[in-house]
Amino acid sequence: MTTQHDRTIQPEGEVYDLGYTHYDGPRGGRGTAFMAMYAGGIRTVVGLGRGPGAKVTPAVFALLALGPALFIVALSGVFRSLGADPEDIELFGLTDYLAWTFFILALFAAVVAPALLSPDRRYSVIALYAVRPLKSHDYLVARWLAFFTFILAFLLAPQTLLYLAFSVSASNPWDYQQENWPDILAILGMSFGIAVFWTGIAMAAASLTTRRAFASAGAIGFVLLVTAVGGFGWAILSSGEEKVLVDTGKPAKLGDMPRFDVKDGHAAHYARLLIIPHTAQQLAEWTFDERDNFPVSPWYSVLTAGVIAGGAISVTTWRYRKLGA
Amino acid sequence: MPALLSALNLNKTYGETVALRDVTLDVEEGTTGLLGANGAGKSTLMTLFLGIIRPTSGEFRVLEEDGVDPIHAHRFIGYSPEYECLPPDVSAAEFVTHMARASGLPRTEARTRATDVLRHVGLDEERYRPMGTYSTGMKQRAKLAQAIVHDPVLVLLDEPTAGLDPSGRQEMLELIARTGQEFGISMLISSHLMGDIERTCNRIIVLENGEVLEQGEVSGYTTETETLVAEFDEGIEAVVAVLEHKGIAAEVEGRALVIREVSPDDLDVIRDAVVETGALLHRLAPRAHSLSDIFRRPAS
Repeated sequence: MTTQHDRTIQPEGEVYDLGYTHYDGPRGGRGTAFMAMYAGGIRTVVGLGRGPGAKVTPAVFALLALGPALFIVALSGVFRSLGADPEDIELFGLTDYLAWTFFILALFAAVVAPALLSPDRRYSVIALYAVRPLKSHDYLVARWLAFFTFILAFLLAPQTLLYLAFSVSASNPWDYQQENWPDILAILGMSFGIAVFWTGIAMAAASLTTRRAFASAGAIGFVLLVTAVGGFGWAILSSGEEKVLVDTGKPAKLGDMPRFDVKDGHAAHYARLLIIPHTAQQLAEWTFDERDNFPVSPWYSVLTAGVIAGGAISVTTWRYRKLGA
Repeated sequence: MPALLSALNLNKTYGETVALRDVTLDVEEGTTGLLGANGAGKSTLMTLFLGIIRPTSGEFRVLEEDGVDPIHAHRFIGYSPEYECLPPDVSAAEFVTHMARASGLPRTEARTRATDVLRHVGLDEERYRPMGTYSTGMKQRAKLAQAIVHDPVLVLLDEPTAGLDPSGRQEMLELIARTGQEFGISMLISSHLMGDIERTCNRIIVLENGEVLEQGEVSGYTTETETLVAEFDEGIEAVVAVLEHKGIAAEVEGRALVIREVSPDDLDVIRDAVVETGALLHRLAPRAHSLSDIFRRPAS
């Protein structure tokens, strides 16, 4: 048996501590620093370089967002193998899916977005970014875009998957493409809008406090408050008014209940624009061309969402008007 | 050699409060100490040089660039603030790599340098631990690591020994001295502790109430004087008696004998006195000025 004492192999090299070495490689400027901030933001959202707890939250939300899409895709495959046309069954359309992810994302944004801003202020990390080759607004833009990218990916991934699944499983995929290609634009447009909306609100809440929990509660609280104001306004303005049967312009389906509402153009409908889920639903139906008769122009829904998101972005920009503030 | 940092008639006020008043100074290559009591304006001056705040009036330059928005100079500057600035849930390896990337280093180099620098500051083993679990000393080291990871020309360290126990302070001062001498990185170190500045710096700027009180070489303030200090283990009283008998005035300070305005002839007399009395001499040396003397001088 060979022991350490009778080892006969002579070392062929030696390890030297070279000590501190200077760096003489390339140094990027503002662009490189900006991309580092952006990539750092993405890593924060995903929880990379952090403990297991930081990875669980995005993973759970990703599963919630993608899971139903995967289930529907699998189910479509089963129907097709049984000879049925999945299109005829209308399990869960793109609009329904958007409504589902809309709320998943609301929670995700409220829970995760504060991690991008609040701790940097709370632990004064922001002072270190102030001495990197960045302009004062680069930090905020990079962080904002990092979260926006993630939310957009969250929205686009399941919808793209569903669209592809519907295309492939259709009895005639080519006809499906001819008929439904505007849905691609609708998916992109709605996803972009929803991503701006939730990123704006969540980042604004995060910019107002150094505590993540407060920021999360603030984002959800704001949405609930706006919705409550809208609901209250709707209830006050519509009470005692004559209700008429609503013609949505949609072909009637089995199980549809007749809807009664105050007449089109009534002030109550404008108040109802503040009920965020309602406005989101109307925008989705309008974008996916599922309905062509709205009580007030859908552009008012766009305006409402735009004003809320724009206000949120303004608050965030104001809070970070000077890096290190 | 142009100054790394320079200020000309710099003023900073917050409402009625004057933080800096007519500050004119140069920070050159090497290690410079920024000495002053709490509230003297040290941190204000540092954050101003870093572009975090702006002056009320005056001019300043950072690595030869206008100091108001020194975005290019920031690629060659490191900073470690006085307060805690480390996210607790992130590992040092992740954080320092990120800071290297944010300073403009490519991805691979950033990772390599982060590993190297964490080893140099003594956090090799702990680099994958969340920084929230670090001791105060380890956090100070991590702060230094993020400040030097991109191999800057100049590092600004704000109270780098704050909150450390005596042994931690000792280790940190040694690390700072190495960073300046072995790594060849110029530093501006702010401290209210004269010992820290004396041990690590070769130049000094003294601030008091937002004004520059003194600036120059540390050696200029700690030069030898004509005062001799002799420390004895035993027999100090006998030596005093002999010296008095020979007309040399000596003051006793504990175990030390202080003899002022010593001439070369006096040295022979003192030596003979020690031999004659058989006193146990522990140390014999000229007294050096201390930086604390700066603050003891009467106001001009």
